[in-house]
Amino acid sequence: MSARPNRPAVRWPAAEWWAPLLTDLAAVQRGSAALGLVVRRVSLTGATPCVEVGWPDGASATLRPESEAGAPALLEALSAAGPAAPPPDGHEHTHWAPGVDAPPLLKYAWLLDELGGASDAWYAYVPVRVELLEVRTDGVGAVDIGVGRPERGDAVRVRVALAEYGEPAGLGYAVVERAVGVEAPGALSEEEPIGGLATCLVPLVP
Amino acid sequence: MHTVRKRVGATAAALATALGAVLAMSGQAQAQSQAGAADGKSGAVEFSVFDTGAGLPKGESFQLKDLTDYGVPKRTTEKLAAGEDGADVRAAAPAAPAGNFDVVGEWKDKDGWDAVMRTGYWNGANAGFGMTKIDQKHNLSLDAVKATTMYPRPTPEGKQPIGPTTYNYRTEVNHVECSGWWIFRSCRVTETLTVLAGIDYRKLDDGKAFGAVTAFCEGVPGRCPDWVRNAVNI
Repeated sequence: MSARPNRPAVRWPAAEWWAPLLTDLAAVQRGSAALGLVVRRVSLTGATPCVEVGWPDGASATLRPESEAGAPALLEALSAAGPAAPPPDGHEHTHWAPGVDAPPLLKYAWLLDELGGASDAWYAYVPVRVELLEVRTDGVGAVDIGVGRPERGDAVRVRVALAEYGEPAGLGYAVVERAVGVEAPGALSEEEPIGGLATCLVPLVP
Repeated sequence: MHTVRKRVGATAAALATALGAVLAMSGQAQAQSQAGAADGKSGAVEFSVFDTGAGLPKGESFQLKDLTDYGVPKRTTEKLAAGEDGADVRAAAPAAPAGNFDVVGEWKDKDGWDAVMRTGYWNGANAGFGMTKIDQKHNLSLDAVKATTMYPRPTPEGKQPIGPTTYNYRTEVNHVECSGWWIFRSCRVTETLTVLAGIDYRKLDDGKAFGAVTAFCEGVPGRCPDWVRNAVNI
């Protein structure tokens, strides 16, 4: 637990460095959900984030943007590989939540927004250190959020079932609390390691 | 509930000696002080105080009467001196209107911004927002959130943007223990927690901000201690 981010963002000094990127990707995902665009994976284990994007026709793109590049720059880069569109007017200033009956890709956009807008969950909420390492989705029903636990030297993927969410939920706090509460990754299902760390998968709601 | 602990039973001689060092008391006053031990005017008292800007001294003692210098109303100090619970109204969650987005509180933050508390919800585990989650999961009141946003730390960390429209506010709450007699009790801050409240200023269809996302004691994912929500000056 700290009063300051582990690595502050420039845009919002009280936010973690990846918060602007997730907020911008939320805008891209919201505007492009109807076009089938899926931000399949955001990896935050390297010095520069890696963003993998796919479309229904099989097209894909891999970007390594600066975390504060901004939504217009992301859209411009993605447009070279497939259809992408900005979010509706007022996206940043009008509260939105898709509702539980919304299409999965729209709910995923909302989830990225929730994660990006509450990065204090990752430094001020729990008494131990945690790190956001990865966000990935199948684009249909599940979003896995990779949480590093430096003091234990491992990681936990917390699976959020999109079908159950769509209203304001404080999901960042929920994910961190869940990850910290997992005892021994070895006793749980093994997963593809994140950043070389032993990793297990748990549902957000046990 | 806020607790006021009283230790009554000091001997008359010890009491008179202690008091004599502070005040040149008449025999009549000494008799009154012995009576005071029975009615709560002497003994140990515990309470908590939101730091509204003056900053209680840490690591050194102060007298109960000095609380007024730190923004605590004189009437509250007198109640504490008498061994009574200092808060006038216990902070309970507002009655819950029907909808999650119904407004249960509106106020101005330290800069005059329009802050809002909505009913919200809590699923009993870790998902939710607004008053219901703040009250039931984190054991904080509307008054505690108001105090945090109206009197945040006087440093950049007191009010900081954490997203395009969301601001985090922080302020300290001090747990204080006092012993001695009446307003001359010697007091010391024994524990300090930081309350963090997040307000999202994105507008809803009603033209008002989404408002309080959550509020918690830093480093405490569950319930804040009761003494935080029961501070005497909120």
